[in-house]
Amino acid sequence: MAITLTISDTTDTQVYNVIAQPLVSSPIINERDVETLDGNISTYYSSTKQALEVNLGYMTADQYANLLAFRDRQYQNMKYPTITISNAQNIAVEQMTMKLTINEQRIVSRCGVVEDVVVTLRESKQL
Amino acid sequence: MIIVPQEFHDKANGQVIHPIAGLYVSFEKQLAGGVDFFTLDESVLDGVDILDSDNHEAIQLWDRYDYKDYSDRLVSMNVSRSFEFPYTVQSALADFTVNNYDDLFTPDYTPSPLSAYNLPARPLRLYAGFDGLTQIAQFVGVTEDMPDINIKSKTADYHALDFLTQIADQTLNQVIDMRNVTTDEVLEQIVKQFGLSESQYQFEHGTNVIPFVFFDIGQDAGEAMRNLVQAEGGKMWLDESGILRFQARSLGDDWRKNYQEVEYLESTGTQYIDTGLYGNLNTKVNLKGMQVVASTNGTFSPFGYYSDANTSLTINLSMNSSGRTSRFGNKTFITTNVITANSINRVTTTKDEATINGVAYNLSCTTQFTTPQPMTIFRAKGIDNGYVNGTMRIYSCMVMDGEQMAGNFVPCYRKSDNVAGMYDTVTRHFFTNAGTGTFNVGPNTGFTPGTFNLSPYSIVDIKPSGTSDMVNHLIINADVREVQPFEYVYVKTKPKNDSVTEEWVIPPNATNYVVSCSLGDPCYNVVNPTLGKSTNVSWFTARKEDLTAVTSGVTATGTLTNNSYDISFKNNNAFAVEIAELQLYGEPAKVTNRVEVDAKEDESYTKYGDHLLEITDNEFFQNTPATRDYARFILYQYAFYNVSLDVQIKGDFSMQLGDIVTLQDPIYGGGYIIDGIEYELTNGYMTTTLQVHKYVTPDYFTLDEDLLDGTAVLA
Repeated sequence: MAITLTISDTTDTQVYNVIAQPLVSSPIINERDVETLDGNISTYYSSTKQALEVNLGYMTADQYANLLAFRDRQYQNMKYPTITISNAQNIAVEQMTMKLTINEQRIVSRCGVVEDVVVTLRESKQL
Repeated sequence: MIIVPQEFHDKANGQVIHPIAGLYVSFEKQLAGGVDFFTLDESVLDGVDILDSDNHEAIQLWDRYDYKDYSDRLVSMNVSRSFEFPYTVQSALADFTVNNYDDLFTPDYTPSPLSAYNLPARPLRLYAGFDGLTQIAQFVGVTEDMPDINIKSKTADYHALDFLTQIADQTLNQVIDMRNVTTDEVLEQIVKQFGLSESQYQFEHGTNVIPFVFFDIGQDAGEAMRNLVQAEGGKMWLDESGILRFQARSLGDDWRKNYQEVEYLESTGTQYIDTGLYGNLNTKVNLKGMQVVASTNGTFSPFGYYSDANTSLTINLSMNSSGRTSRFGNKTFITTNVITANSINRVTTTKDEATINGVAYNLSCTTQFTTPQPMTIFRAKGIDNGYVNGTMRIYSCMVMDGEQMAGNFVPCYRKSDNVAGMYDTVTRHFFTNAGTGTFNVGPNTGFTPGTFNLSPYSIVDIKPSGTSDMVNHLIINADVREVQPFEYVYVKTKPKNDSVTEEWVIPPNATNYVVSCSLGDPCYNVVNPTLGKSTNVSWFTARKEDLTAVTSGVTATGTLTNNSYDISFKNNNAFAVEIAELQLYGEPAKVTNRVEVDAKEDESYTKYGDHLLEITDNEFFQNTPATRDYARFILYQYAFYNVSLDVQIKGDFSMQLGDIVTLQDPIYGGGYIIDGIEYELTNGYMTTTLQVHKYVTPDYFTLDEDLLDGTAVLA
C-alpha cells in the first residue's frame, strides 16, 4: 500500500501519492528545563505537536497550482487545511489541522513540471 | 492556600510539569442572566460605569457577568499580587497577550464582533492549574486601557487591575461621618459606596476602635483604606475568586491552627460566655450582635452585669415601645424600639456615652465602681432571671480597660472536638459555654494561612534583600480626636459699625446662595441653622440694607464637610438680606490626646544603622498601647538583615498571600510569609517569584505572666 497524503479544506480535497523518500516526521516538543538549587532539573512541558516533511517528487503545473492554492487559501480563509497521512507506519495523522508550507518552486520543463516538491506540515489547533 | 487536591501540589513539584491557563473575558459586559448592562453611547468610556452606575451596584457585578472563554487565544500571562508594605493592602495586576491573527481584538476593526466592546474596564478572569486537573482562579479584575496591538506578531497585549486596585483608584462619592467605630465598620462604609453587597466581602471584626472618622466627598478611597488597614495592623485583599477580605490584627498569632473562626456564635437563650472581666469606670465595650428571636420581654441584652445598684454595666436595649434601661455605673439611658429582630447591631459603650448603631446616648459617668461579678456575653448576668433571652447571635465582642485591650472575643469552635465558644486573642484563652445547652455556630470565616515546605528541588534561585527592606526604627505620631458634647462651633457676630460684608448678603429671591463656614475642628454633627436667635440650636439673624431685622423668608440648609460647614441660603424676599449673626451648634471632634511612639530594635540599630519608618500622616493610630504593639510587631518582622527575599520557585498556583513557606536552604532556611507572588506563563514555561519576609512568632503577652512595657506583644 502506497503512502498517501490527503489535503483538504473547505474548497478542495486532493490525494497525493508519496513516492519520493524520505517522509520525515520530527515532532515538536514544547518544553523547557529549569535547574533547581540542588542541581537537578525539572521540565516545563506544554505540548507535543506533529511536524512532517513530505517529499512529493515531481508535479505537473496543474497539480502544483492546486497545491499552491491550498497554501494560499490558508491566508484568505484564516484557516489551516486538514491533513491525513495514510499507510505510514508510526505516523498518526488523521484529519489533523496543520499549517502547510511549500519549498521553493523548481521548474524543470517548459510545460511547467516542478521537481523536488516538499510540503512541510506543522500541527496546530483550528480556532 | 487555595484548597486543592494533593495531586495538584504533586504536579506543581513534579519532574515534568504541565501548567495550563484559562482566560475569560466579558467584553460585552452582559450579565449572566442575559440582562444588558453595558450600553453603547450611554456608558462612560474608560470604565466609570463599572464602578458607579445609576443603581450603584456596578462593581459588585464582577461575579455576575457573562464571561466568554478566550483560553485558546492566550499566548502568555503574567499575574502579580503583593501586599504593599507598610499598608498591607493588596494590589494585583495582570498582563496577558492574546493571539490576534484575525484581528478579533483590534479596536475599531469593524468586522470583529468585539469591535464595539473592546474598551477599557472589561471584566476578566484568569485561571491556572496543571494539565488534567481543574484550574483555579488567579485573578479577577478589569482591563485598564485599550489593548496594545502588535501588527507584526499579530498579538494583542492587555493590562488589567484587580477590583480592589480599581476601588483604590477612586474618590469617595459620599461623606463618611462615624464615631466609636472599628476598622471593619469604616471599610464597610467605603466599599458600599462602590456598590458591594455583603456577599462580596468578608471582613473580620477590627480591633482598632476609632473615636471619630470623617471622610469628605472626593477624598482618596485608596489612601483611606490603606491608612485604616495600617493602623489596624491587618491585611486587606481581593482573593482569587473575587471576595474582598479584611483580616484584622492577628500579629502572626497561630491560634487559628487549633480553632476555626466562624461568622457568629448563636445562643438559643441559655448559653452564655463568662468573660471573667469586671466592669469599671474605664471599661469600654464594642460589640456586634443580632437578636434573632426576641426575648420574652422584647429586650436585647447581649452584654454586661446588671443589678439595680450603681455598680452595673449593662447593655439592655429595647425592641418595642417599652423603655429599657442600660447602665454604666450610676448612669443610665433608656431606649425604646432601637433594635429590630434579625438585623445586626453595633454597640459601643464607654463612661462618656453609648453609641447604638451610630446614635449616641449620653452617660457622663464619673463615679468609680466595679461590678460585683464578671461581665457576660449573650446576657447581662443578673438581668435574665425573669424571662427567656431568646435566640441571639454575637459576631464580635471587644472589651478595653482604658486604652489597654482587656478582651477580644472571637466566635469559633475548637477543631479537635467541635466545641463552640469564643477565643480571647488577648489572654489567648478559649471560653466555652457557661450556661446550659450548646451554642450554634455560623459559617466558617477568617483566613488560615497555608503552609508550604520548599525543598531544594522546589527552589530555583534566592535573592536576599540585604538591608533594603529593613525597618529597625519606627516613629508614629498622630493626634487623637474625640467627639465632644454639643457646643457652638462657629460664631459670626454682628459687624461692627454696621458695615456690610458682601459675602453674607443674600440677593433677592436667591434659591441657592452658598456661604462656607470654616470650622476650627472637624465635626461629627452640626445642627441645621434656623432664622431667629435661640439656645442650644444653630441660628442666624438677618437684616435689610437699612439695618431693620428680617424675621421671615430666609431659610438655610447646611452640609458638613471635612473642616467646614457649607450653608445654602434661600431668600424668598424681593429684597437683599444680610446674614448679620450666625452661630452653629455641633459636636466637634477635638484633639484630646496625641499618640507618640518612637521604637527601636536596639541590636539591629547598632549593627546596621538607622532604618527608619516614620508614620505621621495616619490619623487612625488612636491608641498608644495598640500603636506600641504595632511598632513592636513591625520591628519583630522587619529588623533583620535579609529580612526579605525574592525566591524563584517551581510555582504552585494554590499559593496565596499570607501563606507561610519553609525554605530548606543552608543559609536562608526557615519560615517566611508570602508578601508577593508573581506568576508568568509563556508557551508553557512558568516562572514563579515569591517576595517573602521572615516569619517570626511574637512572644505574646500573657496576663499575670508578662510585664507591661516588656517585650511581649499584645495580640
